[in-house]
Amino acid sequence: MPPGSPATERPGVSAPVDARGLIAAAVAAGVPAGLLYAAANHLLAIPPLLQAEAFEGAAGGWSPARALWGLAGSVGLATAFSLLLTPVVRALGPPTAWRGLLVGVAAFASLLLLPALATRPGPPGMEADATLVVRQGTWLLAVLASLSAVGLGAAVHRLAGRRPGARMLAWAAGLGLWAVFAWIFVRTGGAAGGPVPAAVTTRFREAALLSNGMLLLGLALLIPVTLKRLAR
Amino acid sequence: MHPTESTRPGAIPAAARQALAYLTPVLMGLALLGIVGFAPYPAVHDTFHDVRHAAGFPCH
Repeated sequence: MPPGSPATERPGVSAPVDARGLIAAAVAAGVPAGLLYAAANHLLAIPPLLQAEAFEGAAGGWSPARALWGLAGSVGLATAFSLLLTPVVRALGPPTAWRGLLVGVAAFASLLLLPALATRPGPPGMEADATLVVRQGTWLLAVLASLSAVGLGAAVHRLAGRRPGARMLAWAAGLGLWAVFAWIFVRTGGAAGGPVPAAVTTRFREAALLSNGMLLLGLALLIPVTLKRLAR
Repeated sequence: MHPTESTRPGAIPAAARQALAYLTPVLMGLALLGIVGFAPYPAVHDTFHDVRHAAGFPCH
């Protein structure tokens, strides 16, 4: 086994990392995860989205070109997430399935769930309760809030060391702060109206939650595998 | 003594090289996320419209 191999690495003692290897691993995980995401969206989220557009009176509907752009967007988004998450998984130590899942859960909470609670996204046709810039700023604020909760959990885990219950304390601290932020965002968010029936909006939101969960699960499982094969 | 890579004049310290190695994919990811999720140009918005709604990005 060559010196500095991730397979022999001890936590806290890192082998040198190569940016090209990280990027290769991220793309190798992001593309298949994006294809899975595109398929999930096509089956789950796009039908209620098209229904909502019909209520909105917008021209369009499904077309092969639209499906192709949806595929490109899904792969692009999955690769973007993968480029963000792969260095984090690698920084935690030798890439394992558990570390991948941990980062995947944190990413789902930070990039998708808390921002959704804050901005209440939905299909086209929903009337927005604030300007686009304000809603984008709220999205970013929610991401930063969630990352700070994750950071608190990580800091508590590090400070608690090997004391009994350290892991549980870290989870409690992180989840507790995250729940406080979620409560604040839900309480301060406005309600959006529009011509789209509530049933269609609910169906879209449930479908999007499921497909987004599949995306992050796919990345969580693939990133440790591609890191082992492609990155030092 | 022969100069090693890390002691060569002008060489980037190892710690900085490592930080750059981690930061490079992160910056690429942020740029790609910005394009897919937030770029305001109509052509880009129309291209990634469905994914923006599905992923919960504020769209329009």
